[in-house]
Amino acid sequence: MPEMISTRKMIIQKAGVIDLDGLYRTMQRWFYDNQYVFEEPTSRMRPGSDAGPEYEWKWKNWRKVSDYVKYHVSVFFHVWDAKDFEVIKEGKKVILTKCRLKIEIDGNVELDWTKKFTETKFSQFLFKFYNKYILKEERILSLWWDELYYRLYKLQTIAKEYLDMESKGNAYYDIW
Amino acid sequence: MSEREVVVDKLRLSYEGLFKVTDLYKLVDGWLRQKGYDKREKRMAESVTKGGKFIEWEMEPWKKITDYAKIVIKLRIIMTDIKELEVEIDKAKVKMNQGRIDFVFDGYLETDYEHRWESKPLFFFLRTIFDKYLFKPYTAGFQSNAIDDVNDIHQRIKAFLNLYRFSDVAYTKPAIIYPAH
Repeated sequence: MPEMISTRKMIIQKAGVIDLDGLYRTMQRWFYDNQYVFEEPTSRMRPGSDAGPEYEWKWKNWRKVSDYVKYHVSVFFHVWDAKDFEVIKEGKKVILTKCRLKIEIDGNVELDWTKKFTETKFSQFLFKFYNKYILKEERILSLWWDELYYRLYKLQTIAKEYLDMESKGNAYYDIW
Repeated sequence: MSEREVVVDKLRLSYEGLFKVTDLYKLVDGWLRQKGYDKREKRMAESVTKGGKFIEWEMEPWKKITDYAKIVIKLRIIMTDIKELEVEIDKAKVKMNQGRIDFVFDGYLETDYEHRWESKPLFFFLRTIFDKYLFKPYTAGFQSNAIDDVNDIHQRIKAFLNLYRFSDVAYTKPAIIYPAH
């Protein structure tokens, strides 16, 4: 079985007026710039409550790092009580949404995604041996896990900046 | 499971008055970077309420000391009724925030985070014996490191908030609240 190492979930929540369209495009752009394959398996709209409809988007993005390692990034947008209204910004009509938004960003480092080490018991043993004694686990963490982890914080910073949150900025911007 | 020992239990700090939210975030984030902690922002929430903005930050940065022990700081910051206002400092108008902040600091020493000593009951037993008796000076040292770090960030934040005492706008002094046992 290929092994997945999670970077653990990070959550952003905001309630207020949001340019959902712009946020969607900005975050999607990040995946394009970072050479990820972008997939949106779920895009759902529900009637929600009297305050407005409910939206859900799930993104599953992946990128091959090598024949052994692959990065997976999943993003889950959940929007409640969405109400659209038009405003004129710099002479242009823009649709903004008053809503409650929750973004969950989760990353995984997949080892042996080509499943070369899954066929026999011996190859499974080799897989464990390779991770434990040749890569020494520490390398997996310091090289791939760390890269994905801090790059995801860059994505989180982009989202925070777009949402104009008070916690925008990132002291770790120069890592990876 | 790795063992988590509580070294600082819910140290609290409250402040009500004038400050800048973005500067506070930069201070905490910058301090963590400077001290060699790995970033971990579990939840960053913001919403608008009748009294002003409600902001909640939940962070759990960690620092590996050895391949056996790591320090974890749990920091929860809750800001309520945050309003934006303009203040005149040295004849220049500066945008500031006013509201209430509550901090809760927890410090942990996490040992055997790589789960190397829990594959067999004998290993688990040995780990406990080593931790309690043989490596006591080491673990005590790690614990004091964790306490020092939590106290340091606590002091920095206190000093940061105290700076606003010297502005000519109304403020209240930061107050440390110790948990009642």
